[in-house]
Amino acid sequence: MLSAIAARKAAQAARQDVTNHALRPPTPTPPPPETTAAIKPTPKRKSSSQSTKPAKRKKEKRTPGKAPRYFTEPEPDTFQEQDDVIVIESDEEVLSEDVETPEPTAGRGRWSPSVPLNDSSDEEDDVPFSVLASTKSPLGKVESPDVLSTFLPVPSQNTFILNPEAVAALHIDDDTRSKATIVALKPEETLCLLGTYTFSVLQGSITHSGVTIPSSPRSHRVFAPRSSPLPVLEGVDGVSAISNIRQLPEALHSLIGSPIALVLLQELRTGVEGLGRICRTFDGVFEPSRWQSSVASPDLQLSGVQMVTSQTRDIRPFDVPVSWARALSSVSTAEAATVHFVKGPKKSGKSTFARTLVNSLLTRYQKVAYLECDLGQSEFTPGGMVALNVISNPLFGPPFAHPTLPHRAHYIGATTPRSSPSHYLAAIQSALETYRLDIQTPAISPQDDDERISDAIPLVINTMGWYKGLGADLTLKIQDMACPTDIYEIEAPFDPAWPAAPTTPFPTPPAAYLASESQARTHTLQPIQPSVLSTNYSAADHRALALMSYFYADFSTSPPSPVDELPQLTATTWRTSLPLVAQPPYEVDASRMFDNVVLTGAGTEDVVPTEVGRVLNGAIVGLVACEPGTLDLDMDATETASASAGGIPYMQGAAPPSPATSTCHGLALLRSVSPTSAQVHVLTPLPPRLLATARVLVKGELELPVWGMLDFRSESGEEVAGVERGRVPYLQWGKGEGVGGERRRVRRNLMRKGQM
Amino acid sequence: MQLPRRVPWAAISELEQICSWIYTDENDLDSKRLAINRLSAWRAITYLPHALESALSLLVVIVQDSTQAASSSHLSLRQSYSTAIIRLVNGLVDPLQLGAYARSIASIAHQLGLPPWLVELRHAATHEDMPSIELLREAARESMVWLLHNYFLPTINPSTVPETRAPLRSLEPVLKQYKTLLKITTRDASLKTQYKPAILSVMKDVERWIAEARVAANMTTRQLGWEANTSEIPGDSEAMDPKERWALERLCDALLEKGALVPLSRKKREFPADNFSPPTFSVLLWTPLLHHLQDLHSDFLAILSGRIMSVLAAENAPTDGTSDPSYDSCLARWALWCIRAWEEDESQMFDLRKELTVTLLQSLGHVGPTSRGSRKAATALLESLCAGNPQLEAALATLKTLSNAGSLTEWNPEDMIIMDQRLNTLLSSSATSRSSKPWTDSPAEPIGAPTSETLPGWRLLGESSGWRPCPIGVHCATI
Repeated sequence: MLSAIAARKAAQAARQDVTNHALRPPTPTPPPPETTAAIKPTPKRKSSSQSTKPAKRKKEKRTPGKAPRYFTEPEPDTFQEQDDVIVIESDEEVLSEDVETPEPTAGRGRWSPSVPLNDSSDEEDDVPFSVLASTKSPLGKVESPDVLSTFLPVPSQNTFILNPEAVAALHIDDDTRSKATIVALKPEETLCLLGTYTFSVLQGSITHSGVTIPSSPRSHRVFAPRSSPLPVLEGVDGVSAISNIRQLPEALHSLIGSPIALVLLQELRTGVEGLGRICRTFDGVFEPSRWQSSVASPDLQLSGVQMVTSQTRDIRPFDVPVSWARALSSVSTAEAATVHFVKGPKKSGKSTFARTLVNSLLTRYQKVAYLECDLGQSEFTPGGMVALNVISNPLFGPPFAHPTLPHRAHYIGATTPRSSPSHYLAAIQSALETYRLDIQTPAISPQDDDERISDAIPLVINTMGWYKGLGADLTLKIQDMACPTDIYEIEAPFDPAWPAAPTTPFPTPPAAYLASESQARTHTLQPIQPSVLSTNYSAADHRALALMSYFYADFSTSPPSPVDELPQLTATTWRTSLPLVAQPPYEVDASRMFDNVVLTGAGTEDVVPTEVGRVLNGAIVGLVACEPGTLDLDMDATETASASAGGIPYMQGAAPPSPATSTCHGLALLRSVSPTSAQVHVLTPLPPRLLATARVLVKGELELPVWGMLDFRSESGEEVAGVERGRVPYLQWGKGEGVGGERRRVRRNLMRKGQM
Repeated sequence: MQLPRRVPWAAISELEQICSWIYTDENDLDSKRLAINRLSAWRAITYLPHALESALSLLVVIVQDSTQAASSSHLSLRQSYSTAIIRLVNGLVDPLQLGAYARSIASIAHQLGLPPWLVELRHAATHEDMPSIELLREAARESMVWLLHNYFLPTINPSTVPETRAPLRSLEPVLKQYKTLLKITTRDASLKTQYKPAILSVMKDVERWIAEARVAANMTTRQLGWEANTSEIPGDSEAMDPKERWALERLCDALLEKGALVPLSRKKREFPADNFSPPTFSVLLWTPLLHHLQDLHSDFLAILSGRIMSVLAAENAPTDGTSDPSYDSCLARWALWCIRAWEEDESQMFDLRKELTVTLLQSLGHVGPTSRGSRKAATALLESLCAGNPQLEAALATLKTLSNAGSLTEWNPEDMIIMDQRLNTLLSSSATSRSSKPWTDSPAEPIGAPTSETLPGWRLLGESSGWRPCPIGVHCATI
């Protein structure tokens, strides 16, 4: 929930931005400095749980029974002017519980050497100028809420409940036998749903998340939490139909053949809601918020799904900007495998666009490959790795809802390539080679009723949002290696501190660069407007959730089918009944099962072998498999070192395995390391068949979010696995005494005298 | 729910061990190396507190300096020492740059108790000639001592070190100066331009004072830690930086002193009869500053009105004849002024009026004729708060009749209905209140790992192997 203060501050920032001083009596008030909007510290703390909060706020008498507040419990009308909220984000690598993060701002007047130069690699640290420039809407006016669902369900007229037998008769690709609701969407009629559900288009076509979906027996899983833009289903036409359409109940026959799209909606139970209980920032995001529950909404007879009729303060519909739609419709239509390269600044919608692009390509191709180069917010894997995935089902949901085992991945171990740019590039190079050799032109396995292209797999490359300085160089190098056919560039806001990057990065561009440039079609896209969602959930929050989602995901339910060479291994359920602290781990003898343990990240060269057990205790590691014979180990030296490391095969200062000959299967949490032997207790969601080959551990800078160390079964958070809170190791409640007991913080928005 | 933070040590005794490795014997290089190794390992686990990171860089140079052969470069040593000291000072000072404007490093260092010559050395090493090795060695030694007294000892033994910080300077002279300046310009508008720079500089001084107070809050509210929310300000108190809140509260206290918002002389406390406003001249005088503060601190007015409420509703109103009814009613009028200013500002989405009414109602207990002066002022305020707002008026009327009809009567079944009606009146004045949904458990799922596949070398633990749930990082012995 967005705190009232945060909204107020943001709104006030907005007000000051437009310098609306007309309301004031004419007084000698000095005009507020121009940058006031940015100097407010954004309160980072959110209420971690909605349910506990009201009790804290006020001691009020309660009436037994109905339990509304006795007198007014004035809920601050937080989002009244939602459109006017300026979003000021601060995404230092700080989770929401860190309160006092001063708001960084795009710098101006930085002249003193004591203020750090805007290190371009701090990609998450500055406020984009566009935020301030683009939100100049007139203030003080309360707009009527936007209607999200024009569809109004009327039973037996445009809404029909089907029993499981009737659903089974339709032969939808969905093994769950549950009841379903069919909605009939007229052209341009919209239906916005919150929660989790599956849908299949029985007749006609609809658009969903910016993609037109024709009728087919395929069913699509949708995850629509409040923490992401909500997808809207919109009827397009009623032209085609699935072959079994006549199996529908009599009541629907009058609609068959009419220009109305028929969509079958079913419940989807995955346990994903449980993640909100683990990562309390996202508590209840699949349920309507207080704003929506006050609005009566029609019932679709499906549990876990709620119809959202109009826009409320804390949601945002999924909206495809015009320039996006244009770019999506003008994608190269060659039959061959095309390479699509998405770049742009952070928070401009790169990932969302890339996901939409994948979905759009999946309407023409059976499979699409996806190369993730954004280490901070990866689409399919937890952060910290360059991953190549092959996707065959459209993605309707935020990244945490589809954790997927990669086809090939390389663990970098950090959320930016800042400390290891060359390793990062080597990892991408290796992934691109894998794509060209194994994926681009697959062995043809014709599927009967699929008209989509199967003999070529296009590639979508998503890049990181670090678009200045070294980041810009890296992105250009990746573009150079990838030889894209289509480049989608999201416009960067103008930043006076960083003059426009030179158009030719190299004095003499290599031939390949010229070639790729001449072939590639460039599409320029508008950035998406920052919304209330980015105020509510920071990048660090999303990262924490993605990591938690990964560790609680159950990948065992999606075994690879033998006929499919390039399967998409996406988790379909989450096991969230037990916290990580209570999940039984694997016990592994590190001296026998692992060949090498590598630490990466600045400063890790100084970790001596006797201390390595301490470093690994509670660490997140990448499980890396090396091709046989490529692990170049000096056996004698390793033995000496591992003897002093208590049997852990660790070599101080060793480089991570070469991406060319290794792949990272996934992550593991070393929940404990035995102080006396080389036994480690490991938690990992990876299926056993992958674990056998993972014989190298790489520990990077990625840490387990504090949510993962807590025990949600204890309501007050007072206990972790039966240990009272003062005695839980590695966790400290409350702030320590002593000066310098906090993490170093950097501020970039200090104003000097004379700037007032 | 209060969230903990990750620390690299399992228990504070591990930090104590490092401390003894470093400080027990200055010449014991071997135990210093132990400390370096341990700190380097901790650094790889999670972010280190700044003091520990500085201690690590200083230790590394000190050990290097003590063991190095004479022939090798002293320049590299000087550079290492310099970097360690520059980063130590910057890292300590930067988090305390809390205001909008930069404060001088020297003044923050003074508040921290950091030796001033280290600040000078930082400047010299950054911008001037590289200091001599002798000076740098001394600085490193002194820095280590400073860290012992200001980080290690207080962290290991909380609350044993007495507060020796520089006290917060009084705001009164600044406010007095502001008042003097504004009196001049208010009485003679032609002087406005002439005095503008002076007024601006006073306002900057207030800002500077707030920044200082925030640093002081850092020191004084340390024991409060994350839960420094003892104040009575309405609203979403969780969301605000407690240090800023603390600083603003102190500022408000200074403003509420007689002679500031409330004129010292009772003669000057002439209230406009037509509305519930503070004395006209006072309003002219203080509006610029209050608006300025509200511009920079978006919760300022809420805090100010909250402070006024707590003064008015104080239980221990002076009974010894010092009670000053016109002071109270002046404050009450300022509270309403705050609310009006708050409501003028359309970007504020938080219903301060309603919130304050609730606070006031609760602290008054019930609304009846009261004798005490402050109560009178509070009651008057309450009435003008509710005036013009039909919902609040209705609620107040309901409550008023209740407290007037205080006498006990016999219980009637109809009383229930009356109570219900009253409850509904009160409830209707609030927006829809949300019934919190109880947590529903996700559908039953198999507990334990899903697999029947076995994997050599990977043994899935369970109850049978003696494994028990335990916090991350605790190794549970197995059979």
